[in-house]
Amino acid sequence: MFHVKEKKFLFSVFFVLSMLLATVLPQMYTSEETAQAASSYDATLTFPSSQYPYTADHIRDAIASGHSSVCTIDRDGADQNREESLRGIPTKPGYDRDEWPMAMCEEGGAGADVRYVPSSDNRGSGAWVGNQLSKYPDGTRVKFYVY
Amino acid sequence: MKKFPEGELHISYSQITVFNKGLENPYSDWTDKHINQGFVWREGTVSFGTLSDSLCKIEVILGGEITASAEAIRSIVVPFTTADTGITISSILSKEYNFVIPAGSYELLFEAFPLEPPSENDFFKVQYSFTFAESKSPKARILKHDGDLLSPETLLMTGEAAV
Repeated sequence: MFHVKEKKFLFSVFFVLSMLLATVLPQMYTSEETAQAASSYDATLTFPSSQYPYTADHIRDAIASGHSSVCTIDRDGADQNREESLRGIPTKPGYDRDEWPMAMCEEGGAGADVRYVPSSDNRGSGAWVGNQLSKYPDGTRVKFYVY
Repeated sequence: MKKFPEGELHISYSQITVFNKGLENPYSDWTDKHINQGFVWREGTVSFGTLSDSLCKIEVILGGEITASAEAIRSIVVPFTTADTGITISSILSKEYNFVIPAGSYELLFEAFPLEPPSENDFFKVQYSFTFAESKSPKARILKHDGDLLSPETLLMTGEAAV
C-alpha cells in the first residue's frame, strides 16, 4: 500500500504528464496540418463571386467536378494550354470562353473545363486575378477559394 | 520619332494594358460599354481589348503623327499622362515590357494589325502598335474599328481598378 506522501507524489506526476500531453499533442497535429498545407500550395486567393458572378460560378462548378483548385503559375505555357483547351469550341459574340484551370496554370490545357461567360464579367475577373497575382513568379502554387 | 525594339507578349483575358510603371492595381474592371468601345481608361492606365488571345508582337513609338494606318483594322486614341517612372505594357499574368517615355501629356494611339488570318479557334498573331505623341489637349476618339466594336457617340472615360 502507498503512503499518503507517495500517493500525492504519484498524483502530481500523473497530473504534470497529463498537462504536458494535452499541450503538446494538439500542437503536433496542427503542425502536421500546416506542413501538409504548405506542401500543396504557397498562397491562397479568395475569388469574389459578388463582383464576377458568372466566372465565380464556373470556377466553383469546375472545382466541384474534380478540377484542381490550385493554380501553379506558368506564364509561358498559356498559349499551348489555351490551344488545347479551346480546340473545337467556337467564339460567341458578347461572351468569352472561360477556362478552368486557367490557361496560365500548369494544371490547365487539354481537359480543362470551358464555359461561355459574358465578356465584361470574364475580363474583369481576369483583371482582378492579374492585380492579385502579378507579383508571384512562375512556379507559385495558388489555392483558389470562391466566396 | 523614336521606335523602340519590338517585343512579344502572351495575351490573356483579351486585354493588353499600358500603365505608368509601378502603378498599383493597373488592371481595370470592364462594363459592356467598355467592351463595345474597345478599351477601359482611367488616369495612368488604359486596357485595350485584343483581337486574339495568343502570342502577339508589340511596338512602341515615341513621336510621330496620330493618324490611322491603312493596314490597321482598329485604331483608338486616348489621352495618357506619363509619370517620370516610364510606362509598362503587359497582359494578365504575362511578361512586362518597360519603356522610357518622358513625363508629360500625350495622345496615345493604339493600333491592331493582324499578321495572319484567324484560325479555327480564333488564335492568330497580331501586332499591336502604341504611338505616344505629345499633346496639350489630348482627346479620346476611335479612328477605325472592326466588327467586334461599336463606335458610340460618347466614349466612356471612367473606369475602376479591379480590386
